[in-house]
Amino acid sequence: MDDVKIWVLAGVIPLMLCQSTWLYTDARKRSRYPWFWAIWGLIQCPMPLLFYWLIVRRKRR
Amino acid sequence: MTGRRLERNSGETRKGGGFRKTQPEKRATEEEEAKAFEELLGEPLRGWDERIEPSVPHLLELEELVTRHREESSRKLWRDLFMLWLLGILVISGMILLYRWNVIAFAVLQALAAAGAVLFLAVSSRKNREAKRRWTT
Repeated sequence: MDDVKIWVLAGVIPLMLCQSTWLYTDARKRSRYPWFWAIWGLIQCPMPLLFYWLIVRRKRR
Repeated sequence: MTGRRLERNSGETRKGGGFRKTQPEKRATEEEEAKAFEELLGEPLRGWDERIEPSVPHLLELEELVTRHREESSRKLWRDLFMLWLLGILVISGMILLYRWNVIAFAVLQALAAAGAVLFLAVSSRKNREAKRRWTT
């Protein structure tokens, strides 16, 4: 594996973990399927964030 | 004023063959009932009430309860987060391995994950709407 790929991975892994953690804690605070958002947040980026913002955060305002 | 209107205003409309009680009559009956109740049960009830001493929790006990609850919630959150990070490492490693093995399989899995998530959201939203409608009607 070349250096670029290693750097990409080094950036992607913490990013996914941070996204997932934030989604989990916020969804848990609002009782909105925290494990669903957390697992989705581990698989993709940034779709879960966009959907979360549209469905949970924006709807509640 | 017509006869019917007079009847309505005085509250003496017949219904089902009997007289409906007027407001002062109702009030008088209620007062009589309250008096009878007081005579019959007033003293024993007061005595019973005086004998009962509610145990008021001390402020320190309440504070301790709140602190304990907070600590428990925090411990549970950290435990869940630890589990999530463990799962995260597994899932991300799996995704990287899949990407290295076959890019098309990785793309298919990503599409499936997105479709599954959208489907789950649609189903849960529909269920919530139905439940809300059932509660409001």
